[in-house]
Amino acid sequence: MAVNPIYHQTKSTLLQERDWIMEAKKDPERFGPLYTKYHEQIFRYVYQRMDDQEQAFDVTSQVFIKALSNLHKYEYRGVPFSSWLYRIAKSELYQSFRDRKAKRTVNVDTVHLADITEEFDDDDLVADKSKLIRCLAELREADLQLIELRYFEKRAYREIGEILDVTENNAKVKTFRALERLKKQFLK
Amino acid sequence: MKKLNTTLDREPMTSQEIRDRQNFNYILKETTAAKVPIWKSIWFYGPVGIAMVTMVVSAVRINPKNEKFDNKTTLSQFNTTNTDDYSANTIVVEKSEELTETKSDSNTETEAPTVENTQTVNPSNTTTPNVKADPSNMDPAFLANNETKTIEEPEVKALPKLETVVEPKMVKTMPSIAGVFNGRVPISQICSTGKIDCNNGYEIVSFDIQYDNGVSSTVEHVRGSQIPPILCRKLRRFNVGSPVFITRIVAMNAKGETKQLLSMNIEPTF
Repeated sequence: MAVNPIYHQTKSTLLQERDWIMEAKKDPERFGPLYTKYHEQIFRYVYQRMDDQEQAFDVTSQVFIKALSNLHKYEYRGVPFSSWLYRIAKSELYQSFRDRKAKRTVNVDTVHLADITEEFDDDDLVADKSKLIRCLAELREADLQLIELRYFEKRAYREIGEILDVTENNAKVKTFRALERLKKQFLK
Repeated sequence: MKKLNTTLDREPMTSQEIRDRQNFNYILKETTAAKVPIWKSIWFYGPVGIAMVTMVVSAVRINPKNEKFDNKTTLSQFNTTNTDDYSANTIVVEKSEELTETKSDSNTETEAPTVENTQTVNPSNTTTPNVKADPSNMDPAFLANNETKTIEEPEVKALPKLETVVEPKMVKTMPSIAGVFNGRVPISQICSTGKIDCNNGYEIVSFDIQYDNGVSSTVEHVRGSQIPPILCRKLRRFNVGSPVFITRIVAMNAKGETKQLLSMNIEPTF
């Protein structure tokens, strides 16, 4: 499974990121490199869960405005800055749904659906895509989020853990359980 | 009802498309605009509010007007015979009003004119009070006469009651050398007069003096109010710049009443 290359950083790039953050805390204009680095990543995360492209750009901007406004509260914990940005993005995303009274969107790539059915470990299962999509829509929000992060966005468990503020192992277990629930739903 | 929208195989956006929409200046501008000024934040109002309240309370407590009011009260208590003093009279009448309030309900009718008179006493008050008649239709001369009559009434009533309010003035009996009770006194003044004075009609009868005699600290009992010349010489020699304690000071007045006064702490200087 392919992984997100921006997430996996060496220690030196993490330290460089920390320096950028410290400089940005003193002077907001120094936030530029962080913005350039993470804009696409955050936009893709937001757009994955939204219909409208313009709305997704607006929410992404809002994420960075929030991040810059609250940068003084940020504490470096040895993980990429994106973990913090994802948490802001999640909050802004749901705020946007509430404000616009809009429904959350799941963008499904049919290629990735095959990855899910592979995980079901049952040779007798015939991949009924439309049924699987229906089952996905019926999943709880937390479970759907885990499936989305792991199978549609191809994120590492460690990254999922940092986005959801849980440990890597916990993320793995939770994803497995979510998949089990999806399978159960699918076999009904 | 379905909670989610599902989109299948949406056209992916290229990185270039996303990069073209980056606008860091907008983020900076919006962040600056979104910042709440310090004077609008709740953290500003807490300390500033407390400071304001403290300032107002201090201003009210230190206000010299309050002292003036106290002076007036004192005047009204002691200068009760001075009927020309309008401000004093005003307070006298007000005090009589307070006293009459403690009376039974049957006296409330007689209190009413007293309250009216309080207003007429004040020269700044141009309105002419009268309970029954319209003052605008009355002769000014008649009003003037009427005023003088109404002023006199509460004074006569109030005076005997005020006697109970006045307290005798307490003056503390204090010893001193050359006008100093505690502090530095030139040794020349100690030795020239060498006498411990006392106010309030009292004379010093005896006292203890603790000083340094060059070897150790000594206490000597002295009769009379005079510091003996031999002690004076020792003070000049060994005690300049160091404290000398005068304790157990006993004073007597003309009637033969004695009292022990507060101890003194003096420091002889050149």
